[in-house]
Amino acid sequence: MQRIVIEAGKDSANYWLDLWRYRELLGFLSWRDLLVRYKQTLLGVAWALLRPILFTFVFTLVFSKIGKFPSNGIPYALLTLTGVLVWQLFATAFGGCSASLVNNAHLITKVYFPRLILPCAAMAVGLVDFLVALVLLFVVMPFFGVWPDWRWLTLPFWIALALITAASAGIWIAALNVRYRDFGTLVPLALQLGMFISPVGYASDIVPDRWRLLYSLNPLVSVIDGFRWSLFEGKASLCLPGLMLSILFLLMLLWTGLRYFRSTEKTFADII
Amino acid sequence: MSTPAIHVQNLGKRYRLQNSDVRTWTLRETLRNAGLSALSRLRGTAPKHRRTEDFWALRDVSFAIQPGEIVGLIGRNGAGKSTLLKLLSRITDPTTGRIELNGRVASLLEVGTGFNGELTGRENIFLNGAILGMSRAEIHSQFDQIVDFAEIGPFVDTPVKRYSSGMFVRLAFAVAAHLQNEILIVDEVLAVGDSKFQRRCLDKMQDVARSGHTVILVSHQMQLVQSLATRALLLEDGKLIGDGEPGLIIARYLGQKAERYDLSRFGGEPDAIGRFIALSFSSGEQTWPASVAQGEPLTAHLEIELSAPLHEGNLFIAVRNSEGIEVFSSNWSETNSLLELQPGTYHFDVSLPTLYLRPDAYWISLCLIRNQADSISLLRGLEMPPIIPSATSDKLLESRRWGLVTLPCEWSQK
Repeated sequence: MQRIVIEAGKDSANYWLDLWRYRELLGFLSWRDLLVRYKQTLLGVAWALLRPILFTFVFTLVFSKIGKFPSNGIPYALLTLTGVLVWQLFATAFGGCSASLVNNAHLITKVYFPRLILPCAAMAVGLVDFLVALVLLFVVMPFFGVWPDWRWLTLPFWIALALITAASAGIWIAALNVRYRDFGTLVPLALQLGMFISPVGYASDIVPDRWRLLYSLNPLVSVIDGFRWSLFEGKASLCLPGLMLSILFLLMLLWTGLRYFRSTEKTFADII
Repeated sequence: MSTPAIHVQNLGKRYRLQNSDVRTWTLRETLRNAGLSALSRLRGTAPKHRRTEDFWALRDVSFAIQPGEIVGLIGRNGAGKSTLLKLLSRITDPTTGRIELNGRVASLLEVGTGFNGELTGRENIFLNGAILGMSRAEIHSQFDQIVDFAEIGPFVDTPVKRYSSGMFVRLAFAVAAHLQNEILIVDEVLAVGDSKFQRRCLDKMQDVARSGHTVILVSHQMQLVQSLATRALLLEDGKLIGDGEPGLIIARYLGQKAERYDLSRFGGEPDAIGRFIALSFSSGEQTWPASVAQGEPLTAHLEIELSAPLHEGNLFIAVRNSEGIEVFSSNWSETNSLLELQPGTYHFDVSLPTLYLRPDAYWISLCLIRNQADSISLLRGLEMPPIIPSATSDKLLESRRWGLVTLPCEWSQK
């Protein structure tokens, strides 16, 4: 029989085991978010496609046709589409993650489960949207005469890196948002600015080499570059030191985020 | 005894109240406070203390609950009931003390936690079940029973936002009622639905407990606690001040500040034609004395209310001592003929023979009878003023007496 001991001021001894025990709930909550998202929309899954298509169209027009930005031999529309897809994966996952606790306040105050499940489950919508749009990408690529080589096998790695980026930032914001709702208002702003700071509508080569490392402090630079590298036969440049720096930075952000989350999660129900 | 299902030791929960009742801080306030204290530190003046006030919602609470017990948790609003439930269900963490839970805990602090209006009944059963701690396999195996219990049959694939509120509540309770968890924590959940459905919920709860599950429930309906619980805990201002037989604890709760027990809230079958509405005591001129010395007069005043004529009626009173042993009983027909009464309110007095009661605490039970032997209303565990030794009694003499009662015996030597 399950035995639980709660002692004042002591951390629960099997935090991670508890998280594992509740993995089914994680699945159910993700499933709920997906169902609710697609239920009452007329176009359903089409929304996952419509947004990237529109953005790609506008970005290609502005950056390539008007701004004459370089693209290293990658069709500009594909360059933008990949950027937009990765960006949307990050933006949806990060947005869901940061709002997850506040959005589920009614659960937090009424039932126990490891609170970390909420930000994790909230990322599912982003991932599913992304996978749908990824199919679109694979369908249009041949029309531009682009066939991926072996490098596309590294795709899961880049997807995982995008999700980790979303989680690292999202867990911080989710926990802070419980106490300071200001962070909730900050997220849309950060996402709007971030879209231009990250190489979504352009190739990251246009950043001068000496600034490249500094630019990599934005982990999404490496993620988007890596994504393009894996799909376009290495035509997009991948800055390895930058990638290392990004990963290091991410791990640090994730670790401190988890620590902050754990130190405050016991008070969530009291202050939310 | 076996391992308790719930073991609580010195449990306490403190809330910090800041500037009365600000619960979420804005970033601005935090920054402003940080700025102010930095500024005052620069100036070398001590930072002004923020007005924080400690509030103990719960303090030094200890108890153990055995598997299969149904425990009613009662007390006024703000007494700490909800806090205790939240601590037991691990929603919030204790400030002091320790909780040991043996078994899976399910907390039902509201009906339909996590229900989503956009989702269908079927989808909500799975979602809600998972949130309450059921595994996918458990939900699958119970699914048909849940749908049956909720009586939503054809609407199982309709979004619940189109349900009537009755259907919604039935579905929510049906999921909760089929939980397999060993420990159930329930907050006022039963106060929902029509009376027929409530009845079924009660039966279900009793089944749950009979199969060895432990139930803790909070309710303001004393009748419910009385009929369902095997034990009651009484909280007041965050402290546990009573623990015992539900009837006794309820009477104490209801009589806490009253001049008399208000009995109108519980006892009797719903369709009974009569019930007790009040009980009070007096000793001479004094109403409800704190205690009564042996041999002093003590009278119990009963008030009954009849909604239909009473035929061949009778009143019983029985007195138990602190060990739960029935010391004596008495009834109206011992000295009178059976009652023939029209509907209305009636008062009865019965004098209690304190001379024969050993110094102790006593509880009385009351019973109203019709047709010579049918019980209409039965109340147990009503505390009466304790009996203390009389002023003239000799301590030494008292210590040489034992037994249930004190009876005057004449000694002589021949």
